[in-house]
Amino acid sequence: MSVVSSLAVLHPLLLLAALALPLLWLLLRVTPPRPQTILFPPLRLLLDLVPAQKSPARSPWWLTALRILVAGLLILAMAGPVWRLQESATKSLQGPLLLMIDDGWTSAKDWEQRQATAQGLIELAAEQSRPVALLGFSRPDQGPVLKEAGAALADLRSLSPVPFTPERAAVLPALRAFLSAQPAASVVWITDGLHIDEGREGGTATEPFTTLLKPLLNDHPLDIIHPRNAPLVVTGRQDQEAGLNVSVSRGWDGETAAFSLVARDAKGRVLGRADGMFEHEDVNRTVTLPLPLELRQDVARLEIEQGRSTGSVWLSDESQHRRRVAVVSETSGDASQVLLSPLTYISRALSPFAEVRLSKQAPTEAINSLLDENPSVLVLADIGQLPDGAKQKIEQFIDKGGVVLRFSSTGLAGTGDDLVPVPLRRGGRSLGGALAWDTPRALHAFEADSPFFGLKIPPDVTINRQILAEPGPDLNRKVWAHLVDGTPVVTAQARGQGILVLFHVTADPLWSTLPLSGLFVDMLRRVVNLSGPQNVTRLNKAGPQKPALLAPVKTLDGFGQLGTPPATALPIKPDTGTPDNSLVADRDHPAGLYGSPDAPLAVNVLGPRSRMLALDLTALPARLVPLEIPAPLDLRPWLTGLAAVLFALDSLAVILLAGIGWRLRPTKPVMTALVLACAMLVLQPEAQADPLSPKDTDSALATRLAYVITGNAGIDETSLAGLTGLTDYIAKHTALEPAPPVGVNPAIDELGVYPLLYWPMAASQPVPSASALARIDAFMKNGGTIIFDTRDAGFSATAVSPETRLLRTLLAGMSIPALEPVPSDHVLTRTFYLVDRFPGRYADGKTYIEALVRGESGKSERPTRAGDGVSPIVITSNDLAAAWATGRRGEPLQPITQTMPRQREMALRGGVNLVMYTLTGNYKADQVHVPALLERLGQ
Amino acid sequence: MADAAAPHPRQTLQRSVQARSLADRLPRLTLEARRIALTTLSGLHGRRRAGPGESFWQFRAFAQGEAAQRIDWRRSGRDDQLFVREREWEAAHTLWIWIDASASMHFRSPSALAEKLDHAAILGLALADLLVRGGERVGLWGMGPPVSGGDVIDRLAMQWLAHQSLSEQDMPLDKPLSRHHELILISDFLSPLSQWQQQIERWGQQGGRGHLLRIVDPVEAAFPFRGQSELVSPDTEGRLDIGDAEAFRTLYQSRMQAHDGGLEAACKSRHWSWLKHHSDQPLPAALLGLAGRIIRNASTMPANLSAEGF
Repeated sequence: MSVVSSLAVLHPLLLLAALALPLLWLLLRVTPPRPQTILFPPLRLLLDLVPAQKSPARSPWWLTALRILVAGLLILAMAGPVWRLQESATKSLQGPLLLMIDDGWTSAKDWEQRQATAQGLIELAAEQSRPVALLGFSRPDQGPVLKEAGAALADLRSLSPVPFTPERAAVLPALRAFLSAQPAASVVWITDGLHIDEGREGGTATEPFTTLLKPLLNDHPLDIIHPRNAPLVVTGRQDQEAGLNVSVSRGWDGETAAFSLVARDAKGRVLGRADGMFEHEDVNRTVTLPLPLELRQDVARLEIEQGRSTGSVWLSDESQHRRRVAVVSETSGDASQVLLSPLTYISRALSPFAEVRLSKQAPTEAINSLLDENPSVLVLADIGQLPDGAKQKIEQFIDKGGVVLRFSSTGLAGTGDDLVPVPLRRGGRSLGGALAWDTPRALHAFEADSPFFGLKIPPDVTINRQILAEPGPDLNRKVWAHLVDGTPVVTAQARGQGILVLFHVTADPLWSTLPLSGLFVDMLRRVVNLSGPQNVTRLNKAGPQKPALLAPVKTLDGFGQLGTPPATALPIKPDTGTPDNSLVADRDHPAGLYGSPDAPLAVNVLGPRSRMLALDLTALPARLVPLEIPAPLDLRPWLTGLAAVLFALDSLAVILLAGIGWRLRPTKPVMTALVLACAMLVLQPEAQADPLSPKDTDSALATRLAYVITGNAGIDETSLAGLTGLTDYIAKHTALEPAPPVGVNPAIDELGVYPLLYWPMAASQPVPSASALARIDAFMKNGGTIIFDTRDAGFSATAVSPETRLLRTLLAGMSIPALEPVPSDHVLTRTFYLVDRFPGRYADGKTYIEALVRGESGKSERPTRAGDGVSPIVITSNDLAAAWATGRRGEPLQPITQTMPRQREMALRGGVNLVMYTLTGNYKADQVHVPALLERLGQ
Repeated sequence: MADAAAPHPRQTLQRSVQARSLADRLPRLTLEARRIALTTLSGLHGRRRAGPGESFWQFRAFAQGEAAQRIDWRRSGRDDQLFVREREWEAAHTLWIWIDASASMHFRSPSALAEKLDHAAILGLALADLLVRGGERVGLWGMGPPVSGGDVIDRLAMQWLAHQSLSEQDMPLDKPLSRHHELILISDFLSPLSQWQQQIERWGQQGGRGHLLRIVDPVEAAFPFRGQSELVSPDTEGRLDIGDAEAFRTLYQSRMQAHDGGLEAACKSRHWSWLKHHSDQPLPAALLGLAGRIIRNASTMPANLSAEGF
């Protein structure tokens, strides 16, 4: 391994300035500082005097050299030199080069770096005319072939991280063939440093690839390029009471790493976010997303923001959701004999993976109230006879996709209802009782088409008593579990979009030992996991016998981006035998979503049994080379600093020389230039906030009303005149003396300095740009109030006026609160005058304002109501400005419809109230209590 | 201080001298001299005058209409008549003024009020006016007959103009200074000390008396320069690289002290008076000082010399 260093320059053209250095030399060297000439009459008397000290004709050569050095350093620093320290792995390697590249998703995080490293190696090999063979672990079928560098580069570019974990051992045969054919070849392995054991069932613990590789190597030199940090991977989610626990891990400990985890729903919206931190020695972390259960159901994707690989994204499907299970029992209220209550066994078995909802009410009410909570599964523990109303509700529940799990009881055995999957034979049977010949029966192994297939049956599970099913032609199809003698123990029937499941035993240990076994938990888990649209649909359509092939809908690429599936992706069989319905991505089934787009099945790169470990490289006779190239060193600060030090030395020298009599006078321009150059390098340009325009500054210094310029001269004049009239009126009648009003352009002007904007709608006005709308939106969000005036109260009541249409367009993109006509008890009607309407030119248009939250009683006792803030929006159609508009002598400028007495005065009073409302908020609402407070104080 | 980029200072000076010839500046200078003379005259009036006019001449009979203060009561008390004591009306004294207008007198530093020549001319003309008002006869040395009345300043200025070249010499015209004549030399006295010593000695031996008013520019006194400097003379071609001006200052100042001391010693030995005027100081003070010395000089004149005149 050798170290290759390089000095690069960001702005090479600046180095041309170095050409001026000889000129500087000339300036500093050839022309010594020139003495000042003094006209001095007494000189005649002095001509014979010999000055004690004379200046040297030239500055010392070393001082000149120092200054040249300073100037040269500055020029070099400005050119932006960068020092790169590169470690090249294989300078010393000989012979053909075999480049093995880990191209699984684990390499995605630093894929560019890997590619650059590989490219560097290939180019190096090309320089030495060595052929290169490229081996990607994801393509065991494409064995390594020695190629020209160009072809190898093309191969390299075609590699990309794959969204599954490649099986490294698959390349061994090709590797063996290649290495034996090329005894001189040297090997470089750009590795991800991870060993992922997927723990596939049936597969023996695979021997690590490294141990398999070692005998192949013989004398081939091997360099391993290893990353410093492992990628962060989401390894699973667990629903807990407190929230969603997400486990994140990395292959090996290392640097402290902070990460944030984001939960998104199917449309990519962020539902929650949590931050986590890997300490030095941490390999696994669990992060809790405190999300309510309802939101948790929507979580479709968990992403590590800092990650950039398939593994940093965890796709969730319905089966991973924590479901809500409602449990109804006749003995629900009976808490005295806990061990005899089926509720105990059911809720204990369900609680690890589901949220159990119980009700203390009687069964009918309990069913009604629990079904209102939208559970996924309804468990009827020991209900023998369902009441009619409840039964209908349950049937609707099943039809809409619910899963009903019913347990037997003596009541059901006796006079049961017909909400069962199979007709039942009344009375049931008991096995192995004291007076019976036969012994309790064990469960038969689950059939392959049963949802319980794969569960191991403990030998101690025995059934003493059960309800028998009436034999029928379709009985077999409905049986999910049966005894060794063939009598069904669990039967199920698809109804509508849901499933009805019946356990032919009770949920308490009276009839069988099943509730005491772990099998019970697993069976319940599988039943509960059946709920959800895709499972039920699958069951209903094809029946449990024929598991559907689910076509890929969207797949992740190696970098963790969801996209359309590649052509090579094949449909997946959801229950191919792996337990817990968990599937692991492989070559044909990349990580992604399969099945129907609405309720897809998620396939991740890591299954619940997958283990991610650091690759054990100690066995290999290899040299380890870090993947990360050290960050290039920016030499600028160093050079500038050195120049500054030398400059200080120069100054010191000048002072010293002057002190001992040599008065060196560097010409001022040179010094100034040097100082400026230093300052320019040291001072970074600072971002400066946009300065306010004088208009904005003026408005910020005085309260004033403002209107939005519409571009229609007539309307703008009316707005100005109206606001001027209102301003005069306010100044005359209230303590507020606003400055003269101004017109603003929301696209240009700073709106934040105005408390109130009056915006008349002009049909001719163009819709403001998106940025202007965003500013308006921000203005309203940050406490500003806009009065939108459509000025169309006189318009036909049925048709939509162009002004109203424009207003709708305007407000379409903004977040507008719910509006209501100003209620009579709104604080707006009392802020200064007591008014009940807000007339303008017209008096019959309604004025809308942000709706207030009503109290529970609907009508509160308080005389005045106000929200917490000021309504950001007031919409009127009364053409307020026209009524407010007054001329210079106070004469009204516009005619108004005299529909109410003193309408113009009332319009102005309404305007005063609006202004006061925006300025004081809910202050007046509190003021109504003053008399009461005073009265109380008096006592 | 001269700027390196500007033309040579000597050329600048010569050009300005040509542009502002004596004829150009004389009207202004005469006006100024008149003003200074008037203000100084009023200052002199308040003083008790001592001088040759104080001595007794004769008693004469009091004439009707005369001011009663003029009556000498002591003499009148001895007689029936009223007498007036008349002072001796002395024969007019002749004073010569020489104003140096050589190239070095055209120097002016930024802190000075005006060129040395301006100060010299104003002082000289104003002094002439004062002296003529005091009954003396005043002339410009070597430029014509003394004047004893009329518009002194104008007449002397005309004389000066007519003999302009004479005043531009470094040294005053070397001609005999007769007894009872006084010579007032207004110059910067920057010619070599030996020349002056010889000149003063020569005149002193001839019996004449004199006053030296040395005009000094503040820069010449303080030598406030710093850094690498080269000195250039306004009248000669000489230049002197003095190196660091600060280091040169003490050298310069000791040289100038020696020069001044030599001049002063030469004056003292012949009972001449010696006065220095800095061109950044106001003129009236200098004029008062000069006039006072001239008058005092007359009163302290040795008796034998004084008697010889009458």
